[in-house]
Amino acid sequence: MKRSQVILSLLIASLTVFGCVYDYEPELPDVQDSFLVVEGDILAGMQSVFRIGRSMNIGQESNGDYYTTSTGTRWMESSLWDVYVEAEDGTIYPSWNISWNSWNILNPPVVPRPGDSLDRVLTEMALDSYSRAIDTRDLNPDVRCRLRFEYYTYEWGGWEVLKRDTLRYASEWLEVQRTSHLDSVGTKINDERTMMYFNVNTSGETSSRYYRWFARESWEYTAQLYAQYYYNPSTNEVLAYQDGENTYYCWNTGTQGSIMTASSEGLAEDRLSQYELYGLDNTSQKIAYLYCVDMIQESLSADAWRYWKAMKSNTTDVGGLFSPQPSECYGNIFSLDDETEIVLGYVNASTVSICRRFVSGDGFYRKTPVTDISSMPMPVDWHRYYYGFDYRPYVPTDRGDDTSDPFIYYEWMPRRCVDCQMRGGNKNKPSYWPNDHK
Amino acid sequence: MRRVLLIFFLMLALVQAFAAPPRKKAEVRPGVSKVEIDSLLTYMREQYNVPVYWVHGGEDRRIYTVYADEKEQFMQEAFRQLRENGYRISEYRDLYIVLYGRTLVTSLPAGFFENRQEQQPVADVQADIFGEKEQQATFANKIYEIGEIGARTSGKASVSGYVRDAATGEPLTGISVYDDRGTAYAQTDASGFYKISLPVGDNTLCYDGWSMEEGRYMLKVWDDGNFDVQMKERVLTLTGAVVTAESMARHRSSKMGIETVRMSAIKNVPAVFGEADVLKVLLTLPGVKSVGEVSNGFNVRGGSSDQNLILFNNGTIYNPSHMFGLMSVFNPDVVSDIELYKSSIPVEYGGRISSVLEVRSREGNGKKLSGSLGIGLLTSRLHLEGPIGNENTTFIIGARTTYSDWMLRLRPNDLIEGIVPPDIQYTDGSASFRDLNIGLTHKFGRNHSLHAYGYISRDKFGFSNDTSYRYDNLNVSLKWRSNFDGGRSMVIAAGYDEYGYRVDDTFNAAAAYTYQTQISQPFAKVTIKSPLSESHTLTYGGSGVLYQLQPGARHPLGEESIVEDRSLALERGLEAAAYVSDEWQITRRLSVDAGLRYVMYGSLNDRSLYHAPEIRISGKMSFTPRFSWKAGFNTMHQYIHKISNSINISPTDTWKLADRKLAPQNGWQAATGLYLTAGANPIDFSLELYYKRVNNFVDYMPGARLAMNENLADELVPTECRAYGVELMMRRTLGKLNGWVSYTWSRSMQREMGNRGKMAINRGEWYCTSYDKPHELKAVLNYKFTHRYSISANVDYSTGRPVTLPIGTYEYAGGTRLVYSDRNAYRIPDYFRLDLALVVEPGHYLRQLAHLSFTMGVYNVTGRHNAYSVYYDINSRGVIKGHMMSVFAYPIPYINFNLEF
Repeated sequence: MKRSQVILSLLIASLTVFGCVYDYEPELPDVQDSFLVVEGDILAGMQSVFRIGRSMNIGQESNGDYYTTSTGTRWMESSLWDVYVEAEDGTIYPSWNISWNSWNILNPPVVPRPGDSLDRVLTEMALDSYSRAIDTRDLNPDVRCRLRFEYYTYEWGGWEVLKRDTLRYASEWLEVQRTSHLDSVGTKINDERTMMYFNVNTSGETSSRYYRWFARESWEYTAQLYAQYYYNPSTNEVLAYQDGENTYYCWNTGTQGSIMTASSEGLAEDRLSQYELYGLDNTSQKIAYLYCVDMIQESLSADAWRYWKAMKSNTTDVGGLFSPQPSECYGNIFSLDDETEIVLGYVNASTVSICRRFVSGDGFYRKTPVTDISSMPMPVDWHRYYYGFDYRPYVPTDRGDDTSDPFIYYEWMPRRCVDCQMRGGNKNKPSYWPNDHK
Repeated sequence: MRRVLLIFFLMLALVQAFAAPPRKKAEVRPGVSKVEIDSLLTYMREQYNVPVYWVHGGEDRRIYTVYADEKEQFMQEAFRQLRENGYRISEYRDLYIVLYGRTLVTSLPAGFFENRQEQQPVADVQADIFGEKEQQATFANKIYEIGEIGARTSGKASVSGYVRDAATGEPLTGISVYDDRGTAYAQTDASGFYKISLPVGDNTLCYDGWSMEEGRYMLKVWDDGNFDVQMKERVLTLTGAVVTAESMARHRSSKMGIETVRMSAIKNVPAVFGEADVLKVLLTLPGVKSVGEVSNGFNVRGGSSDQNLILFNNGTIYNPSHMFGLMSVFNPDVVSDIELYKSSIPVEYGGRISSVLEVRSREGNGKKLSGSLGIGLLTSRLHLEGPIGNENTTFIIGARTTYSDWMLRLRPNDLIEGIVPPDIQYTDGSASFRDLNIGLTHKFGRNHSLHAYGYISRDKFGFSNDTSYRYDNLNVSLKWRSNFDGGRSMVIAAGYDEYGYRVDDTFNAAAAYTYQTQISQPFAKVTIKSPLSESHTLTYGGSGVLYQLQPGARHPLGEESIVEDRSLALERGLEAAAYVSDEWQITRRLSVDAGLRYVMYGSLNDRSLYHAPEIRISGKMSFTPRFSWKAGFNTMHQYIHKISNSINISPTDTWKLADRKLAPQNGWQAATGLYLTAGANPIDFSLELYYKRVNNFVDYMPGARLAMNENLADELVPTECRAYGVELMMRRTLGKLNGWVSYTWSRSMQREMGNRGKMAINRGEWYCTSYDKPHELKAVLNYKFTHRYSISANVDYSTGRPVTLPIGTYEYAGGTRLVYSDRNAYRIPDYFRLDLALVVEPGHYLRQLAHLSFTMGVYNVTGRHNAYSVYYDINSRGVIKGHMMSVFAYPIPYINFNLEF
């Protein structure tokens, strides 16, 4: 049966490709239920911001004002939300309804007090009409609290309100977690100098050993070329910028999209050292000139940690052979009227520790070389025409051969080269910005 | 460790106690060595004054070696060997007459003076003796006498013996032994031993099974006695036909849902990369499913992969896969056969809910040193076997190792992208394994043997330079086996199993750690089979397992690390069972196998105790010898839970013992089936139905911390499972076209127990398990054009497995997040695969020095992009994109050469 044998195999299979990843479009029912989404944490010692939204079907274009359910399309009645934080001792912390004051959005709902150095930037975040800010600076961390919100629905018949309902929601009662001190935000550039990684160093004790950070970012960047002049279409004049007027320096703000959580469980001390949170690559606009991150650290309860862990693995660990099953991320917010309603989102309550770090992109940022810019001297007659084609004056140039020509010639550039506002930012320089650019 | 030693010494003591009287090997004993028949019998006549006469059997050049201390023993042994070589020994008064192939009638046939129906007429008997009747097989020319001549003239006698491979002396398992009247039936056990009850008088005994040449022997049974048989492999092997339990066995045994596969037959089934694999062949059988192509965890009748008890020479294998599941841990050179119990689980097995897979390794070749060297696409392997000293002691040793990590380096983007999450950097990935099997067998006389087994393996893999994973299997065991007079047999086994997993992570110097989990379990087991009467066979015994679990230990790595050096408390639990079952042949047509297993489990950590009886009952009713109906009912308990968040058996799984907080799993299965064999060139049809329930199967809460959690039980939720299905199968084992086709319809559902309200998985409603594939069609077919050329085809179709898909999106935490559907609410596309192989057998020149054969094949001929998994990601612009990962998306050709000499 079994004799001495020599088995040889040719490595033919090695010449072929074994596996692949293909695009996949499953057939899903057209309309799924839309769930209420509530985002935000109760942050003792600073302003808490809550954002209310709706989940959308796969493939549905994002339209904040409308959402689709199995019963039709509905208007997202953003203005009719009433959001507040309720402490167990009865204290109510009301929200500042931003949407009613949208013309006034830069006016902070929370008035800075002496020593509140960081609060201002936090309120300068671009709060949209679905956001509510609540002043929880004085929240007593020893008392349990919860998020409450109400929502009014109207059924109209002609000009008459036939029915008005109030839908009430609340989170669980939450212990306010104590977070440790965020000592510093560090950076590390990889060997290839393509990525800059941001890490945190903490000290002190947390109440739970679970951490979460969110990074509020602001950055200064420039247009590719510094234009000294601008064109006024109403007068058909090219004028020099006055002091402080330019379209060269711009600022932008944002938040880090990655979920940044960590645990010091398993460490001998409740201390994180150079714990890496996220990275920026060397072509990112954020690091083009000067980058500023406000790292806000909170501590998570054990349940919140589980929620964020599940959300993280739903986002990143999918599709592999040993990948976990995606799991539902139901949070701790419930309808008080309809107990079957699913609300997405998890509210955590914690004290905060904030650290600001400025990082210059000098030496790291890889500037996209200015190529293929067609600039040309332009006679005045053509100014209006070129302005319409999104060209802007750049520098004055020599007059043409005809010295009798009374007009100054300007080199015109595509607007994207000379106007930094074309690249997402604006001229709203944060008040804490350390340089004197305007 | 002390406990292991203790068990080892206990074993030794048992060996001493049960060993046959020690043979004085050192003494020089009288006898003859390597002589032909003339010298042998002359020696007998002259040395012992035995009046013996003989007629030389034609061209007979066989040689004999007989040593004995005394006359009786010498004669017995010499005659035994002569009989084996086709001689017939007749006794007339005090003379012995040795004739080749025929006999003298020296007494009247048994029962001549009585009036019995079952005896053959005298004329027939004489015809047999004088060779006047046309004989169909050469062996049929000989009549073998069992027992002392004339000892009894009526009643029944039991004949027992061993069936071995003629070429290697290895025992053959699962050979059907039956008499040609169809009244008696037996099957050989793991040591090739059988016992059959026959009427005194003339009998024709048939030996049939696997690809062995059928043997028919004429026996004159006088009394209880021994009859050993050697079987040869059929010259014209029907390659590709994996013959599972023979049709005969199906109709005779009252047990159901048993699948047996012999390794020698596995090797020609088309396989990916041409690497023969035990578990991949298992997946071609009805009722056995897997989650995907790359997974060695298998699911039996809707059970989860950790509910299978995988025994390798009695040791438990916790992770049966190498290389992410591309290969199984069983070395095909060493494995003899595998047996899967899907439904009727014998009382001697317990501890898992769903099924028992027994993998047995071969005994070494007792006749000569032999071996093989194999070079496959993934691995190279070496195996050696042979006798040590004499043929009573044999060894077998097999080792495998991967080459470099060429495969991972070759196409990292394709193969590995599926294995690791897509966003992990895997350019420094590597994967390798090696394993070693050792088996030693020593026979103490005819009826006692001692077996020692050892298995060790190590897998290493990593996806980056910072992190390395590794897992190890270790199994050592001893088995003592005795067969006593009257067909009683006893098996004592004891051993030690270990499975460990370790990960080293140095990504962040301050948090660098090494993390380990380990299971170790000493076990012991004794099973006695004892025929009470002709119709009752009792099996009884006891077993014990001491589970020792290190659920997690984390140590700092490097000087900068501030990782806390912490080990979770060792979990220990003792599972002990006593069992008894009776195989009761009520009438020729009706039989029942009823057993009771009483299990006690105690957690040594919190002193909790669980105990329960388990019922194992099955019965058979034969309407005709070729048409029977069976039904069975089983209950089972499982005290060790796999805690895993992936649907595969993954190296990162942890295990948890039942305790006060975590109840053991329990379940039952009821099954029934019809079996029909039809046609002259028979086709077996079978139809089996089953329904089963399991309680306390654990799932976990979203985001649960599975590692280093001393309160793990708080994050687990118990679920109940139900599974049911119909398995239809058609099988033909002989003929030009052979193989099988099976169709299965089955469901497997799960539901959260307890009361978590709307937080419960799918709100506490039933949902599909990840291996719920309702329709499944499988075929393994082989067509033999000529004696040298044959083609094999393997077809596999199944419904796509259930998955959880995103049904919506929402903005949250600075990014677009996915709303997932209910768990397993959708399915991936259906699976279909066709494999083809061409087998060219060696030429039939018997004197040719070496025989070359080769197998050429293509895996996934149609190149269908079968989905292994589907997933979604969101690109930087917030657009959601679905992806489908296909592991073997293209036809994969292979070719294997076999040189036998």
